[in-house]
Amino acid sequence: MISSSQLEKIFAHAAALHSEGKMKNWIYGEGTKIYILNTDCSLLMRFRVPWELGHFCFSAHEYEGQEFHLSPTGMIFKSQDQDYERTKFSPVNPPYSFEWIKRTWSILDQKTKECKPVGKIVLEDKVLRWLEKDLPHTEFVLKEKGWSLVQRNIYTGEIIQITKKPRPLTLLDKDEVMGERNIGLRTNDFFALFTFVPKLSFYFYDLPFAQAMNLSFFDMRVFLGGCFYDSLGDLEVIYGREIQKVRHGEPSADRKNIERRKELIQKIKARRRLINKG
Amino acid sequence: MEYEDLKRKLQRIVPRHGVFALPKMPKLSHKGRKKNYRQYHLVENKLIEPRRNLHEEEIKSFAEVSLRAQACPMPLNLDTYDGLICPFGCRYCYANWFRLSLYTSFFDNPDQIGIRSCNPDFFKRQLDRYMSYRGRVEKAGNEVARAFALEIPVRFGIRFEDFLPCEEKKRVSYELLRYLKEVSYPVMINTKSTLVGRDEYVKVLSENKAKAAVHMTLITADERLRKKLEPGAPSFKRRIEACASLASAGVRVVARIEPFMPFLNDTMLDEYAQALKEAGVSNITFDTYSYSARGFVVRGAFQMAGLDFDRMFYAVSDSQPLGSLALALFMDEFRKRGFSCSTFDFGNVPYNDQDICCEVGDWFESGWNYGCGVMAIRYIKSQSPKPVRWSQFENWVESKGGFLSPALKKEVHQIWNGEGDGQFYLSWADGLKCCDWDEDGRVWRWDPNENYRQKMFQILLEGLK
Repeated sequence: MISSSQLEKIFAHAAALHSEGKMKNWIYGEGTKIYILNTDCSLLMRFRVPWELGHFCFSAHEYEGQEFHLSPTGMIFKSQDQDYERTKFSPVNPPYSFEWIKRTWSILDQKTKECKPVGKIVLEDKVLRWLEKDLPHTEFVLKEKGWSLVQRNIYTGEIIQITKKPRPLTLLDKDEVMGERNIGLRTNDFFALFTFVPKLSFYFYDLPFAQAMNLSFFDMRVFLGGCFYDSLGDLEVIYGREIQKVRHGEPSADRKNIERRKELIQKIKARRRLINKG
Repeated sequence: MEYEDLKRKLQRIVPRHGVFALPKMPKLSHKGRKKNYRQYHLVENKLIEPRRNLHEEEIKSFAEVSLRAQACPMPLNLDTYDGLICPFGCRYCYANWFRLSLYTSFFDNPDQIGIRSCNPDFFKRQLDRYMSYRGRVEKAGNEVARAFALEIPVRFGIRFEDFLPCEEKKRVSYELLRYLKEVSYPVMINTKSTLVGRDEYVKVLSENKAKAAVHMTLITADERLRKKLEPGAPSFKRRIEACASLASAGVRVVARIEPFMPFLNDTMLDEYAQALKEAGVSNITFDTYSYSARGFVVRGAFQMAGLDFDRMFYAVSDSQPLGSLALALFMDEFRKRGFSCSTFDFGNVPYNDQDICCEVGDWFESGWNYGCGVMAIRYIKSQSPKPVRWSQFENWVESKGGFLSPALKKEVHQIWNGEGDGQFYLSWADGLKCCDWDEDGRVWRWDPNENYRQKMFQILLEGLK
């Protein structure tokens, strides 16, 4: 099977994301459909191409371009130039079978069909420059008046809020918020989507996952697993992070000393008070 | 110059550093996980709580070649225990804080981590594999296997104390010592614990045909100071008793004054020397306080105990030559009292009483990591007054079994030429002079009249006038 240059992009982007450690993923294909599932199972993409691809399955880092197919023993990748031809045989050992992926997709698809969206947001890759790559989650905070993207640094208490400025939009690009919904997406997953396309429509439901799509690029549809935590959607700044109690392993040898030290500090303070008094 | 004379002058160069208020010690915090965090798993179709947990009971990585192998002749470490905090709670120990920050940053269960230990079945399997390389250097692939092939003595207690009170019940270290006795492999223990002085441990060490040595850390004979610095560790007296029982059974015991901290643990030398002699100990190894200790937490721990960290640190750690000179004179105090003294401090390595800075060079008959900085200095000195090229040193190392790995060879070459990350430089060694250059870099010669530390100290004193 020879892939077209457009199609090549899908695999190349997936392989690049994998090798950069931003999204380790498996690529599945059958018929006209390509599925990409990240190893944490928080992102499942599907592309539909206008021609038959055959059957294949490989980890994105195995990808070697141009020509590949599934043999009974594993994947075979072929690449060549004028003088040489290289063939790579890779064993196939995916975490989930292709049937399982198809089944998962149909379940998620069915759920979204049964549920009315709470909101639709159209985002372009321009938004990425305002987000912090190092903060693990990007929260979508949907309220009746509008929506915002929120990121929080739990170490410093910093909160970043991003809103879209009003501007004239076509019907397709228009955001619609019908209800309230807070959902966190992993920042790496969110960034990874814009590697494939510059523009995406995000759909949110009363479900623990969201959907993103750009039908103009090989009918691209993505399900993104949501992340939930206590501070999700909270815009109140809390300083510092939670303090944790640590078990001091075996009998704490320093315990008496800590108490002695506390007494000593008390004595020093008392002495200082006396000195200050005169 | 005598040590006390230098100390008086050093007091003028580095004045006392008092503090107005005790520091507020930072509290330990969790890995950056949001409270009540759950994530939707698309395939499992449910919310999950992803956690990265450290095995609470068992450690797997027990054999390693030290990160200091580029400088150290005995870099093969075995550690049977590990944990978040060592119960001995030594104030000068920066490893505790390093481990704390590592474990709490990477794992979700630091609050459940107590003292972890190695599974004897696991390490016996691993060691059986390594032991098969003994004497077959050409077959050994990685650094650890090569170290076993060269029969470099293994060291206990480098990353963590391996003879904690819980060892009495678990007996993991004992099992490993027994294994090493059965296969006759040389072993050296670094400890502060008195457990090694118990009959069964003494027996298993003394019966090892490849010999065993114990480095007992004894930083001071001043019990009041000892309590402040090592609040959870056994007393000086009890450690001396353990040394005596080991020495009388034929185990080499080396007292370890590490870290050497001027203005703190440099008193009561007569009492210290007397106690060692009575215990049958005649070897001491020293080192200055590592520069890695520079940090808020260690400094704060000293200040909480009413100890002047800054003065000690600036005197011996911040300035390598100054610390090295102070240590040289301090070691002379023990030489005068009849002890054999060596140090890992590069400045003093040329004057060490033994080639191996752990004071076991005359004890073990096994191999060493000859391709390291300490051995390079000793080799250059042994060739004096002839200059030594890198190629000569390289050939000498190859004749002794070779470098532990090509990467390590590169690092040693960097030390030789004063390149790399600056952890160690050959030029720190007193008397070593770069006399020429060739295609491999510097050519060194040892000149006993070259004493850059004394010169530097004189310049500092001139500045005070």
